Amino acid sequence: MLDWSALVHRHLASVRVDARRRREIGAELAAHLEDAYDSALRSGSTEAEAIACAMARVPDWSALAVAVKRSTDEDAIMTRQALTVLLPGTTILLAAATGMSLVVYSTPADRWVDPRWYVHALAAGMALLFYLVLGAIGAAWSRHVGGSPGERLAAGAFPLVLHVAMAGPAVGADMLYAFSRGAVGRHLHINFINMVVVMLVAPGAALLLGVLPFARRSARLDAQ
Amino acid sequence: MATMNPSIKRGSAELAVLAVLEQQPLHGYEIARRIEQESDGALRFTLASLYPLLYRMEKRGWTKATWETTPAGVRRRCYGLTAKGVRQLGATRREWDAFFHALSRIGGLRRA
Repeated sequence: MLDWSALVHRHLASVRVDARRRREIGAELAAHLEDAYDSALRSGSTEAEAIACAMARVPDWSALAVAVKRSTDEDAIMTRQALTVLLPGTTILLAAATGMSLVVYSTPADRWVDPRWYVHALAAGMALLFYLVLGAIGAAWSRHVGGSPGERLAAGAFPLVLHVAMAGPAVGADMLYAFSRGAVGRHLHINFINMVVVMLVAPGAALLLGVLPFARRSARLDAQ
Repeated sequence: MATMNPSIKRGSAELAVLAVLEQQPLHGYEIARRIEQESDGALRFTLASLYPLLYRMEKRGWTKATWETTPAGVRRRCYGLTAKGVRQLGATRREWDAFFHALSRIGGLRRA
């Protein structure tokens, strides 16, 4: 007798639903095929005929996979990516924006990106810790709603969008300023490096550190 | 059903599934078998046409599915009509009744 469960799972591997739902769908469809096979056997079919009878219920496996995926997607209020990436990501991005506003209020932005100014280590440490926590929250949230490791990473690192949006124009303007004066030297070098480190590398590293504990697959959650 | 317009096809499939579930909760294979049997083989479901439909109906709250274990120890997901599903069945029946009534007047169809 065919392993109906393995057959169904192999053909529905491309359907992107959470692990528990995939198992349920697989078990249900395998049970249907097994019932069709048993019924054919009871009515006097040979094993080969019974298998053919069951397989006739799925003339096109790819059509089945597409239909199942559509049925799981079409009535959802949010797409999978919206649920696992955009919702947690945007939430922590807003938290990051609020945090940054407070940081800039207490320590003006130029003091963070200009190495001539001294930023207190405690303030820098608190900012990095805040981002580490935000990264962890984004990734944990994404994992909780069934996000894949890639989606958890994207959700946790989402506040970088804000940093790119802020640092990009500033770096661009700085480069234009430097080029317009034919000085691709000290002015560009200092601000560009500091801007990249302070606005992208440091927060990015903190976010990734927060994401890491939640990035790997969870056997417990996948088993639910 | 293979040559019918998809929306008519879907609507008729919903009516067929809701109608067989009105009698008692059933699992997927039994739903397909009953429909095929009661329509004298005119209505046949493949897995690709039946299960996405069942999942949509469940999401819309027309049916409620529960896992049950048969005396032989086999697990089956059984679908039963909810109160919303019963109302939907009534509405669908009225729509199809009006549809066939209109067709019969236009096309001179005979109703069973």
